[in-house]
Amino acid sequence: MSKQNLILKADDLSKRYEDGVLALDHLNLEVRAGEVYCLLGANCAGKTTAINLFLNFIPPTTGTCYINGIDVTKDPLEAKKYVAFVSENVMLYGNFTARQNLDFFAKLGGKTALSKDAYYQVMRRVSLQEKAFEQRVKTFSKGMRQKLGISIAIIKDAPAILLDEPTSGLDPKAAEEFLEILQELKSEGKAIFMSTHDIFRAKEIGDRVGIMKEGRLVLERTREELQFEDLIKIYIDYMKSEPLTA
Amino acid sequence: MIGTIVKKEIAANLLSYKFFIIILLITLLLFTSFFVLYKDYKGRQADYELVRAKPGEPIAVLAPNPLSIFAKGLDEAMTRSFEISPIGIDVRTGQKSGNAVFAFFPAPDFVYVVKVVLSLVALLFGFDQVSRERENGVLRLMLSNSVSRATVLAGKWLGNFLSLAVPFVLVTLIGFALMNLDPGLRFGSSGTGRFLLLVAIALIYIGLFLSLGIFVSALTRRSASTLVILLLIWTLLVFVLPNLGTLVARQIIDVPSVKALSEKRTQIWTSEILLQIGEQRAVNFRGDGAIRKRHLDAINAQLNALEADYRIKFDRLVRLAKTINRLSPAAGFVYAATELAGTGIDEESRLKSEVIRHKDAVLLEMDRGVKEHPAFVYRYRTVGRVLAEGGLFDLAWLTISLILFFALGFVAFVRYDVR
Amino acid sequence: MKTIIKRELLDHLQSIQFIVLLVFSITLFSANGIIFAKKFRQVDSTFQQRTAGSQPHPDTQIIFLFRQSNPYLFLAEGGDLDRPSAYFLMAKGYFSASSAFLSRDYKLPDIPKLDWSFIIKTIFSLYVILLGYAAVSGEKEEGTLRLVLSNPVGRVRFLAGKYIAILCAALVPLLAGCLVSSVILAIVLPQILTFDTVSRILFLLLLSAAYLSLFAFLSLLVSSLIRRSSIALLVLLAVWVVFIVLIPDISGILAQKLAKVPSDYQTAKNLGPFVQKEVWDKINGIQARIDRGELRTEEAVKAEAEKAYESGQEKLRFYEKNYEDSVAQRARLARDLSRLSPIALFQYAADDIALSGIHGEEEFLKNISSYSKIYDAYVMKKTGKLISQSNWMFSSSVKVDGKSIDLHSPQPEAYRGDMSDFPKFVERPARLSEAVRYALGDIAGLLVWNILLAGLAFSMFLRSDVR
Repeated sequence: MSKQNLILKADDLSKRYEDGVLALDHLNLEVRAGEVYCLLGANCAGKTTAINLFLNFIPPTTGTCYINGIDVTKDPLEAKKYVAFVSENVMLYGNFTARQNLDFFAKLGGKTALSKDAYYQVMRRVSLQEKAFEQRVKTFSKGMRQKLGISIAIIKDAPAILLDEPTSGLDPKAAEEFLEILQELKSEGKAIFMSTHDIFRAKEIGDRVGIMKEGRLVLERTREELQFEDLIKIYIDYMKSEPLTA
Repeated sequence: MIGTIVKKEIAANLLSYKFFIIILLITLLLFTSFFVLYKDYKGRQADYELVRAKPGEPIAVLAPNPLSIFAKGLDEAMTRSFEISPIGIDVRTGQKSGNAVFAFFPAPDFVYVVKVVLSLVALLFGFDQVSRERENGVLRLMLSNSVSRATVLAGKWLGNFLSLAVPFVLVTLIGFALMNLDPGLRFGSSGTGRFLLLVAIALIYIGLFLSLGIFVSALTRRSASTLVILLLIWTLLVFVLPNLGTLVARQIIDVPSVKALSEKRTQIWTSEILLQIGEQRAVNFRGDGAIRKRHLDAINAQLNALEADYRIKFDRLVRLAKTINRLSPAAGFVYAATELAGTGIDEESRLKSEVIRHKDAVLLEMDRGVKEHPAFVYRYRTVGRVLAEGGLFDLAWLTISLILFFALGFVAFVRYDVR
Repeated sequence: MKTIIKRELLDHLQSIQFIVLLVFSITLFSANGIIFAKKFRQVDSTFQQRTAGSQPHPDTQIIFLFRQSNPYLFLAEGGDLDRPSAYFLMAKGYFSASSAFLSRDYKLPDIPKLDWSFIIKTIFSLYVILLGYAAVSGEKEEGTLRLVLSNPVGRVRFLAGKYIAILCAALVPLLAGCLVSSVILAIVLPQILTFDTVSRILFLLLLSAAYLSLFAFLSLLVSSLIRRSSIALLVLLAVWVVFIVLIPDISGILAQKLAKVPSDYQTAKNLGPFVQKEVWDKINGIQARIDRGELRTEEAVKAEAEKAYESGQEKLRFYEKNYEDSVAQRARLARDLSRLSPIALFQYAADDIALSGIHGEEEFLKNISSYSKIYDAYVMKKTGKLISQSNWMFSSSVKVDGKSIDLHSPQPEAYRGDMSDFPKFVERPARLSEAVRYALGDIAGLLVWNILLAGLAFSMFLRSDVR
């Protein structure tokens, strides 16, 4: 695996909060271009903390995050040029239409010269209904908002995409459609990092899958390895087992 | 980049019900204020026509100040008629406002609406911006892009300031223009200049509260519970602090109340008159001219002494009160606005001195038997002098406070936890 | 329903806003206690000095009557501290305050007087709005409304529970503050702690409960109608501004329009010609009659002059009185128009309970009126005549048979004999029951608002969409 297309890297990443809780314990992971990495874990396992560290919303206690080789704490603005973020359950700007939201975030992401058609095209790509393009986002269902969220990420055209629990709360059909889009993005060469509860989808789409428990990455398997192992069983076993810090 | 954020803020405001209601309320209040005070001004102008001194009459009366429509200040007191006679100065007022017996709050002039309502609006506005966007996740989304927090904050500030300032200035200018249509209302170039300066000061004041709102928002997490703290801050800054100086000064410097003074005056009058009548009776009212004059002089002397003593104490009180009060942005704003308009405490004090000086000159002439007296002319202080005599301090203090709150907001926002 | 009330109450009591308000309330009420205790001491000592135990100081020409210091001003000051406390009275019922043209030469910025009614009508009404604006809309937004209503609890009980909790949460800081203020007053002025005072305090608290209650219903109503809490709050604040600023100011303006009161200037300008017509023309008429030979003796002339002067004085008094009456009438009109706002209703009722405000002054003036009859009778007994007076004195001279006669407006005689039986002026302030009777209209108004808003709130909530 060449080092050139290493897009996301977490190097010995740890985070201890002021109240003493160790949210991340020496996390090491890599995501390459054209790869989908799924991070599984219970709530408070550290998945969201990892994402927050990548986006420089909180500083790490030790270790470093790299986006496209750039240390996010040293040069956050530069690093953020190369990553797109899809948040869990974001309300967006309710009084704006889908296109207006897309327009704003596109400009913020550096794409200032896009036409209305370009926006429409992206929204069509994520299977958002035509009539919703000029509707106010506050009338959208959760699935529609998620689709808009991913279209915002797509239009930024960044080499890495971070997704925080993207399929939570989606009905099976919507979740399926969502994953199809991720597949397309993967084949375009994007490095995709996704935190999720959804074991089934993780198994389906993940090139590599990691399991987090109490801040530690306890297991990592590739797609090939998982053909012979039952991910579901492994995951549930880990969840049921004794706490690591007992 | 900052342009994008500014445009987004303005667009989001224009599309929200909340903003629409706020602008409606502000428009309603401002137009009501303009209308009420315009009518009041016209009424006082009509009174002035009745009472203005004919050539030679020993009456000192000032025409109502058109800028008092915006900053009422002490204009009503300043435009009373002062009739000078050997007995003393006869002070008369025009139409007594029906509100004197009842109003909860003083007349809602432009300055008052800005001081009370726009400060609250700007505060709530600024507060809403940061905490709401964090709560619905958009802030995180914005910051996952290559845009610095400084840019985001500046964009938010500018976008929201413009959203408030533009309708505000528009409504004010429309009101001003409409008033100018009245041929009987002359602002003149000086008046217009002062008016524009007044609007500029109001904008600084609004910006100050916007910054404060954003600052508080960046310090707190749950918007519902901190709303109360915000309202408390507003109450303190707009109502309590501006009066604190007066309260403190009143405790330190003892000044008899206006009512006590008035009663003392009546007492002096009545007792002297009764003595006078007694003496006149004794001589069967013959040659009572000399007796009357003697008692009149006694009355004058006592009243003058009373006045002088009161004035010294009162000036000290006002000065001390003002010094402490003007630390609050609300008081500083009112002082700056009223002094600029020519209806402020300092201007009124200066007028009173001029009137007394005129009275002394006229009385001297009356003693010498002169029947025709020169007219009383009062020139308002120039803008330059107003600034030099404290206006600049208030202006600078407001601006510094604005920058201070913005800086605090900036620091708080940079360290703000957006998760 | 008890469960709901308990939960709501707990929620309110644990919130930051409650602590903030509690502290704020105690601070304000303490300030109130200190300020008013001091003020009362000041006013009372002045009053004692002037009356030296009893009033008035005996005189048959002019007497001064002073208004008692009012110990209830801490409840509702009503503008009393700026009103005249000294009136003079002359024969034939002529009385006035220091001057109809009360010259306020010196003005400091108006500080709203920090009495109980002010604290309750502004601060506490705002607080109730804060407690209630998210009562329904907030629960909708958080999704808990559906959760609660999926249980066997009716909508009526739900809303009633919310209402009771809001009221209780508001009454706690109110009672705490009132207690603090009362204690301070009791320590500094132990003499005012009478049964009467306590009953007035209790009545004001009842009135406040009615006042705050209507704001609670208003908040619940708006919260049920508007989905987003922040907009609901905005609407409530706008309504509050309308009640507390717009309506009173507009009623003042309307009163000014509807009840034409001649300006001070106008009155002063008209005075000259009026005096000319009523006094000097008559005196000139006397001279004419002398010249025609109708009046020959000095006595006759003096008698005619006295008649002319007296009638002139009477007319002048009416002239002044008309002016004062029209001003008072306009003030009354402004008051009546402002009754559209519930805040005004509360204020006036509070003023009545505290014996202050316009009504209180009117009552005092009525006292003077009835006393003046007694005074007139006494002067008549001691001096044998009653002479009309005004603010003016006239003198002129006429020629009879070449001899110049001085004519002066008659003065009442200064009786110098024994005046140990001079009638005392006793001010009889209204009892609480009487005060309540005056305030009945305003109290009823508050109750009507309560019923109206309660009805609307409940009906709106019952048909609102809870999803």
